[in-house]
Amino acid sequence: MLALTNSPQRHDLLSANESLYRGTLDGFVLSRTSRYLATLIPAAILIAIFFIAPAVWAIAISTTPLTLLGATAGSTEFIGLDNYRTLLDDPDFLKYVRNTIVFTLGAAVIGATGGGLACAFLIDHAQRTGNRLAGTAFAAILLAGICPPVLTGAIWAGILDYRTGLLNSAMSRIGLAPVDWLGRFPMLSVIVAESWRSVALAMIVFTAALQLIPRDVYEAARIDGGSRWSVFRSITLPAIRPVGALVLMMTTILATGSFLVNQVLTSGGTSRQSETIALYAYHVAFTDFRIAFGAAISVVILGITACFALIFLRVGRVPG
Amino acid sequence: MNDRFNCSREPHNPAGEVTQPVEWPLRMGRRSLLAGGVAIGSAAVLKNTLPVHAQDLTGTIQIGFDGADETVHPFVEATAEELASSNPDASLQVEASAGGSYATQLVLQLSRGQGPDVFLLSGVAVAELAESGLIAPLTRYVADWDDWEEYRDEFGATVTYAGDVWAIPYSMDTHFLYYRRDLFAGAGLPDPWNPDTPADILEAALAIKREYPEVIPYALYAGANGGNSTVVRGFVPLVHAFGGTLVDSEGLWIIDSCAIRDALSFYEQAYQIDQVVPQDVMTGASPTSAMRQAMGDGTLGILYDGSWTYQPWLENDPENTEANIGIALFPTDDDREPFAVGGTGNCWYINTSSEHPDLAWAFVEAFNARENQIALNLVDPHIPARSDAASDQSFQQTAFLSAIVASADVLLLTEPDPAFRELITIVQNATGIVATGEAEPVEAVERYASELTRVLGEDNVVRQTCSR
Repeated sequence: MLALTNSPQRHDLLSANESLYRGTLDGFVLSRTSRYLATLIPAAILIAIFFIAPAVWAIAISTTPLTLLGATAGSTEFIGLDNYRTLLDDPDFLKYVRNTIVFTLGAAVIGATGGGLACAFLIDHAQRTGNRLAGTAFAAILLAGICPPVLTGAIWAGILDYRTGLLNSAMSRIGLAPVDWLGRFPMLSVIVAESWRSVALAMIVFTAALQLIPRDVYEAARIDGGSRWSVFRSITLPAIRPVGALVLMMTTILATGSFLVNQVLTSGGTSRQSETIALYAYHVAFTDFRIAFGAAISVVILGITACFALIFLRVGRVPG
Repeated sequence: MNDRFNCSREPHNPAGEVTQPVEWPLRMGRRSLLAGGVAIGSAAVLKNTLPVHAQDLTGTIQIGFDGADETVHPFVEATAEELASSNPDASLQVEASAGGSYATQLVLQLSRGQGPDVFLLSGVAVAELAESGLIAPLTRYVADWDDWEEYRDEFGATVTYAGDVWAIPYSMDTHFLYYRRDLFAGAGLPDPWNPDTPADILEAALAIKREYPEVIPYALYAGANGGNSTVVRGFVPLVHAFGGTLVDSEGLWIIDSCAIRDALSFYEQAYQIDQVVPQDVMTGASPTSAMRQAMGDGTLGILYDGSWTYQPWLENDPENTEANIGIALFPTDDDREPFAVGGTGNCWYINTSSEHPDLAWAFVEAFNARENQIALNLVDPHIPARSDAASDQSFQQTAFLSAIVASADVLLLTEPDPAFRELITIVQNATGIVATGEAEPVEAVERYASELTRVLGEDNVVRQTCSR
């Protein structure tokens, strides 16, 4: 057996079998892969048309001086990275980047994701304990989520306005001095308004994730003497962690590109205290009609969003 | 559409008569205005006003305007119907824009070679639209149009760029310092009020602040939220009041001058030192709307705004408006005459892609008939662009209307310049950082200078020495 095993004849035999087997396997894999690839083609075409092509178009346009008005209207002459140089030369550019990071962390991470998680816990707990208000609370938060951004801005302007706002009216009734919320805290105002609108998305996903955790797992942990914290740390958190990363990524992408609430509420602030890059891009492209420069800013937004997404994907990776 | 961007270098009629203070109470009522305006503005008015050669025209054109402008709609409809009835082979489709952002939508359409054949838009866009090749020059039409002689030279200059006429306005913007007579009386201030210098405005505001701590003494727009008002109703009148201009005689943009420094110092005085302009004037979500509302409600002492803002006050509360809202021209810091910031009002443009420009022009010509301009500007108080319309007796029936047409003689106008759009953000930044106390006026001037230089290029700007 050993002699046969080590003999050249056996080697030839094994090689022949292996190639026969491998050929069959390769044919099977190839055939299966082809079928998979074929089914992916429609989706790939749609993604290419609706996502990749606009991004490539934005990058291409950002290397031209294209405007809608003025001497460079319609011009697609190649000017290299001039628009990016102009952006870097803008003394306010770093302020806009900083504002974008603060806004994204505030509205997406703390407001939408943190707020959504808190709401999901409360609603999940209320549902499990049979509280009838759970459905009402869920519907109320959902209502905020479907509120159009322009209306959200108008609602929060009505709440935060210095002279006619509901918040200052309430404060004055209990003897507190009115505060110029939009003037003194423009970024905070925008973060609160944006969070109010986007918390629903995170809440829905987290609620679904929480309700997928089998109840008997909690029962078993409780029987084993696990504290609330240890149950949360050992059961709940690992269960919602991948979903949390997804929510973070979604809310971050949405917040980084969001500008309408900000535009209605503060227009970027008196001295640009709340001007984010997305709002800046909007102003440049649709107020000044500098399309190419707006496209260059959009490319920068794409980069920032990608950075955020990569960080959150890494954070959300489940060990092992 | 009325919140336009207009600024100027020099008054085109420096020797013109200065408007005298308006005697109050006004005798103009809502009913008289609407009755007169709408009656005259009906289709009947257009009978026999069509030009003789506006016949036997063929083709189909689309007429575009901001759907939110309800005033102009019946006039457009009436003109289109009248022109269509005298040209059986022509079809004129009136298309009021839906939704907001009319100007943005229109520019996007035009840039794709689409959009209405003839459209209404603020005169501020003349230079940029002309440079873009999106609008057709009207010089050859104007040359054959006798009525063009009824337009003052300085009015015509606001729609002339690179030697061509590009648009036909039916009205010109003018502005006044509105003040609350009831608050002025309570604060011991004179009525009628005619400030001699910009400092008088701040003094009056301080008196109001002392007497009425709960009201807003003065609304001076600054920063981004003020939009175009920060430029047109804030910075521009102040620079002119302090003896300066934005552009020099050679067409170079002035990035630093004593007048620019004085204007920004005025902001500091108003916002930070005297604190007669509360911060929320510039931080509210929509300061322009809020301040117009406050003036009507009697919770604002002084406001610099357009003539058209008077009409809503009058419609909402005629007695209060007639009794309590006074007007004055903007003062200068030296012996020059007081003035009114002017601007090209709504203009008709012809799309360069129009296949029937003759029909489009026939519409423009008919719309700008004398009677039409009288009727429109009575309903929406502006200076009629035509002199023979402005001189009509109906503009003498009230003190306010006569003040509007009289302000044409002291109007601060500018010729079209594609760089004006760039100015808006730069002025917002400079005034905003002073008003919030983030920077001293000198620092704000440096920022104004550096941003203007960066945007326009060093060859297009000039620094005027100022020893202060």
